[in-house]
Amino acid sequence: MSSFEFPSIYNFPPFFTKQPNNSVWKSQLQQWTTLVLDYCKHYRIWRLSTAGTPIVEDATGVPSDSLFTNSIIDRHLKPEVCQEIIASLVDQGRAQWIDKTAQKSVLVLWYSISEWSDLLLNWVDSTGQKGVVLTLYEIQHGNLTLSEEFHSIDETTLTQALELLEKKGKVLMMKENKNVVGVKFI
Amino acid sequence: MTWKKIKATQSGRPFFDDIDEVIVYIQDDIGLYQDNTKLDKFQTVRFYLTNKRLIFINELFPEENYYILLHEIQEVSLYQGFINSSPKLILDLVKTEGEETKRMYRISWICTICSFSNHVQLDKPLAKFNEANNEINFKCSMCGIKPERLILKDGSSKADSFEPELKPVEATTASKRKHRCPQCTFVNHPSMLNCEMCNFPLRDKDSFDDSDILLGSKDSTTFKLSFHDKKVQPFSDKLQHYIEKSQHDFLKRFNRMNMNVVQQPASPVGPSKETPKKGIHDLENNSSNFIDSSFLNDSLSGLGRLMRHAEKLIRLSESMKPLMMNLHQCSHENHQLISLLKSNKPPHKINNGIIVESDTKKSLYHKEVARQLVEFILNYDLVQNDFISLCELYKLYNKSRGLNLLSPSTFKLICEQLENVNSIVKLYQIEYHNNNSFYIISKTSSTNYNLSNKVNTLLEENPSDLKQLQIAMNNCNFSILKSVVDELCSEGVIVLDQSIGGNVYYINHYF
Repeated sequence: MSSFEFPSIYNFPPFFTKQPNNSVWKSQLQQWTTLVLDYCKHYRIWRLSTAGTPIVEDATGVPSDSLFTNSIIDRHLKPEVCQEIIASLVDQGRAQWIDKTAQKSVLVLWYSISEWSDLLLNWVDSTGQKGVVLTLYEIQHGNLTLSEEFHSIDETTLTQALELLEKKGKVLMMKENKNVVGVKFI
Repeated sequence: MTWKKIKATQSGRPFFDDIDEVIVYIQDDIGLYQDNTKLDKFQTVRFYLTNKRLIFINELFPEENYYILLHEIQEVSLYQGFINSSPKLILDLVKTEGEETKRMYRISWICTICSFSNHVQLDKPLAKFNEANNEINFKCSMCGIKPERLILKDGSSKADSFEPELKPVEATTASKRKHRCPQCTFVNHPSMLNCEMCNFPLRDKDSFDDSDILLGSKDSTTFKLSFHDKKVQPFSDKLQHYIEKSQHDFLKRFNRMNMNVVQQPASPVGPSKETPKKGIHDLENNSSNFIDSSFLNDSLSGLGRLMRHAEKLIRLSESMKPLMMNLHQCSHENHQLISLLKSNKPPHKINNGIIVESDTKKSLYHKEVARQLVEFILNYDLVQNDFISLCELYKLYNKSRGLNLLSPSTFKLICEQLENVNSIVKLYQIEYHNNNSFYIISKTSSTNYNLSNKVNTLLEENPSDLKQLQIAMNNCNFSILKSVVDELCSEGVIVLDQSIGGNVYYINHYF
């Protein structure tokens, strides 16, 4: 996996300090959220801790150090500022708290739930799998989805996307002990 | 004696060479008159009364500043003003021999050929002319015949006395004024000593003064100070007081004390007061004698009471003596303290003495201190770093004053006057949106001088921390710089980078 190309602002030291001016800070926050989303999309990071480190089972190719630390210019964001950025992502609907009370990590949605559901639907259409029962594992890790953006998608995110599709009546969920095991696209 | 020029400082205060010279009173907005002529140049001058001199500073013509020594003022009289005319102080200057020689000698003779009456002005008395050298070379203006020396002598002896025939109108009015009875206005014959009508002594002191002024006016030694703001009394009182004092000092210095004491009884005032025992007024005099004697009795008994009180006071003072001795010691200690204070010289010294807020007009006082402050700032080049904060200046100035410190509020009022005293420094208020503001004193020439701009350009070249900025800005006041930078930062013009290394400021290019 190629390494992520950071924007030039990432090497601008004041980027790592919360600016006193409110409008400047808003702009700064915007740049940070965009950066986080781009970064996560690039490395396919589904879960991110508030400290900026990715939570992945398979860590190959994914940088282990925090996004909020720039070792080149020796700057890092203060923890409370990191928290603020993540909270802002959640407010924008681009992230979801994994643990609502502790607020230690988030599901990063570089695509929103409805965008994911659209992508899933398109894939099913284009591959002619309508009416076919698919397990969640097949969608996540199947050979057919290797080139798709939702390959290795986080299970929580996938379930949410499928639930949205079910509401629209596009899919039938097969549940066992309240756990979704498979889906059938109609 | 005339007015002499004096140099003024940049801020328009007189230079004092003498350390003992102290400003006693300041009065502005005075118009100057010589005799009765308005001197157009000097219509809004500011007078400084010191313990030695009377100085005026002319702001409209900065070169035209003059002073006069106080002991050269012979007499001060006061004219209270009337409707539109401002109250005036009339100064009579002492005449000197030097001026006497400058006077022109007028000679007149009647030509023996054509009988024309000639008038010639000479710069020295006729007796000093040497006939042999043929210095006398004036001729009759009618026929051109030279006069003989003998005739000239006759004419000169007549002409040397003041010539009333030259100005007949003035002379008659003057004489009329002299002979008019001040009480009933009856114009008496010049030879009368007392008024024919009311027996009032005609030649009283005032009439003599009058003639003195007239005499002085011929050599133009009379000056009038017109007080446009109509408050003449305080100035007049102080002036009188200090003139008396300086005349006294002057006489003392030259051992001329009581020199004229013998001549005093010879003054004509004494005999003229005596009224003749004639006329209707004799009776009135008798009754006034009676009143006098009863008054004398009263005052004698009063004097007796006074003596008894004095005895009591003496007894009291005897009983207080031990206490007074203690007090004396105390004051001695105080004196030591003051001398210690004086010897302890501050790094900056105020040149022209401390100005004390006395009964001088408030705004005038502030302006005056502002002038002094300008000198102080310029002398020590306190604005070399483009500006100085009000607090710093306050501290320095008060330290230099040593005594009679100013309160912060007064000092601010004074600084607000800085721009009104024709000066080159000015008080600026730098305001911030969080209602904080501070004051700096900066050169007026750099009015467009803008701290924030300077900070901006410096940061544009090189992102730096506060210390670097301070050095780049000639070591300017840190707290001011800090507030300027904070302000810029909160405006979002510059951005902050906080790290272990400290706060570094950058120009905001990204946000």
